[in-house]
Amino acid sequence: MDYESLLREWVRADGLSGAEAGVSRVIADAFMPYCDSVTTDTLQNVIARLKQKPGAENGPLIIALAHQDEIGLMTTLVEKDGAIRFTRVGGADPRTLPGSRVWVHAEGAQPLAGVIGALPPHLLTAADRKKHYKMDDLFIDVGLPYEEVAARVPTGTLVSLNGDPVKLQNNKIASKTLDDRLCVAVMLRAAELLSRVDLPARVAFVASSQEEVGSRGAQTSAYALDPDIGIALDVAQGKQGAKDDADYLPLDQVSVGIGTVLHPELSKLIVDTAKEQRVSIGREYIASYTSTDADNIQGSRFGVPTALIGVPVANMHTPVELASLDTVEEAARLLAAVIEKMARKWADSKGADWLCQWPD
Amino acid sequence: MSNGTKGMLETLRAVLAVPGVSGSEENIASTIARMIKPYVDEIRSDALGNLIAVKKGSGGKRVMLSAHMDQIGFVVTDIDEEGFLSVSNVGGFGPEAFVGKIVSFNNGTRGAVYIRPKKDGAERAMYDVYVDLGVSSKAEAEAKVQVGDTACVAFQLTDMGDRVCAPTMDDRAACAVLIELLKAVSSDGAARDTIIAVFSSQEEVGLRGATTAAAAENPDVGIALDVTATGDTPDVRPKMSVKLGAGPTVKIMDRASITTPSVREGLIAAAKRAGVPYQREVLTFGGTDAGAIQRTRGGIPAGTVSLPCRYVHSPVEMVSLTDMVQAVKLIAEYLKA
Repeated sequence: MDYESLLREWVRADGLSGAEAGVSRVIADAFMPYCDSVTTDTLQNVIARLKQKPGAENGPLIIALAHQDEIGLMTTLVEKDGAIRFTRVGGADPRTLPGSRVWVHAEGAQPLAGVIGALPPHLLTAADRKKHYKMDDLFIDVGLPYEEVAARVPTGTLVSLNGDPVKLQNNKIASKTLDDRLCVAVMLRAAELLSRVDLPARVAFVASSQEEVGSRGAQTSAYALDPDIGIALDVAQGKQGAKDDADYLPLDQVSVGIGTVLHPELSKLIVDTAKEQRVSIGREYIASYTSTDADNIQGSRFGVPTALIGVPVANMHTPVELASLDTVEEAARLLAAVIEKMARKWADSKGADWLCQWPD
Repeated sequence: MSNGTKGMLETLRAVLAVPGVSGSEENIASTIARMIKPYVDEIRSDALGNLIAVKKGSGGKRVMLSAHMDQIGFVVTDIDEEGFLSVSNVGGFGPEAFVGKIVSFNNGTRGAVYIRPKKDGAERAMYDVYVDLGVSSKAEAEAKVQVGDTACVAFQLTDMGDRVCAPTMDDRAACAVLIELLKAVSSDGAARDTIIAVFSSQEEVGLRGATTAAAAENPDVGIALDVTATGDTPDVRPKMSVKLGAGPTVKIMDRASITTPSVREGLIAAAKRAGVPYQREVLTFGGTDAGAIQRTRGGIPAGTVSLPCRYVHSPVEMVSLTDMVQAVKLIAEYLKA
């Protein structure tokens, strides 16, 4: 799969949390060839049901979720000089925004190019230099006078970051919104791989909405689908320059979540499968909530056994999120093999018994 | 006063006068139940203390309109030997928000709120706040209140013309709007949609009443009615475009929900059809019942219509009666589409 051109298309598609319709469309189109149906729901989740094989109707329903929405900004006020004030949609970080290029999505018109400025170093005092910018200090300049900005940019206008992909050496890529469209790509490739397998399970891939504002799409889609097993796919904190910390994973390993939200038998199954498939993994130990869709899948209805697989990304929530495309392929291979293994285990034990074992 | 603001003020006064801190909504619930009884087809309460009334439409959608009837306040955590009450906050506010005010318990007991003197510039915390019942012993205090009892700032309304000021405009102003809406719909008979009017409980402690009401009622659409902050007072932070008296708002986003696009556009279209001035609202903190409704079951389209309110979560919350009357018109029009 040509991940680079896929991501080029996907990260340019509009999909701020709560306004995912643009990216939903391109994602839905991509899944169509491997699916019986691709639909969207009230919260704009994309639900792609993998082509079902004969006999699979008695198998478990396994859902995989990766979120399609992206962090960004929303306008709150236009100042008298035309400067646009804004707030965050999801976890946009005011420390990293100065110097950013943005798109201001004025309603019913082409997006306006804008920049978020910063005071030149010449004008800073010694005390200023020690401080980080706060959201209240920042503004967007689109180059228009007040009257025109006020008319074209009403309160609540969405603003997306402008950070087209840059291909780096060693099959690495830097771009906005690798979180989490990278993992939607993982799902797409897994769908392709699984379409060639006689799989005794029903599978739904969900490109979930509103993850960045509290995993809201996962909550409603997990409820509606009522699955037997859930797998969340999200980016993990990748190792970055000059940071030598065991909590960060190297970019060439697929991350496997282990922790209280995640079902131990599923985590074990993933680790075992990775060994068999020779996929290099790093374990991500998460003591409490995972801050991914896994949390809301696990707590859905009567509880859903849930797993978490990820791709490490450095510089998360900046316009230069950095990851390895080789790892995307490895994660997809692992996901496909894991889903197949879950399905076979379900068939062998005639249900979920293998997930409900007492310790020996 | 004109255009229905007089009737609105009377309704507002009636719902402001009754205490109902989160979890202790029984008095305000029965007050509102009495007020709306003539205008609705069904009326009931549930395990969380929500008051739920149904006004049947002539077909169309089942729309849940949710205005929370609970209010922020204090809960008694301890009574000392001299009879002073230690308190904690129910809902979100800081230690100094109600210092110097009279609070009222559900049984009518009143007390004065004060705070221990600051020591060496130390930050003050909620455990520095106490309530003085005017008694001189623990036994005397315990004859009036118990640990776990709740108290709110005592009712006091100042009518400034179109603008009125009182504690608990959050969210009784919206309760008044919902009551006036039920009246209006019942008299003009023009509504097509069925209204599920929820006077919700425990909003201030995490949208708890709306969570269960929405799951039980499973409406086609949910609209929260709440107050929102304004950006029109001296040096207010964060800056925002909403102004008091410039019309009700259609919420775009807050920290609990991003309004479903179809609901947002439906409300804006209704405002335009009804000739109601409206404002687009982005609130960078807080949330409304819409956040709970939207995430119910497999997802329910949801939004919020807000009343601009200065000084939210203070004893001097200020709203405009005209904004309230316009909010009734906006929602009545939305229900016809």
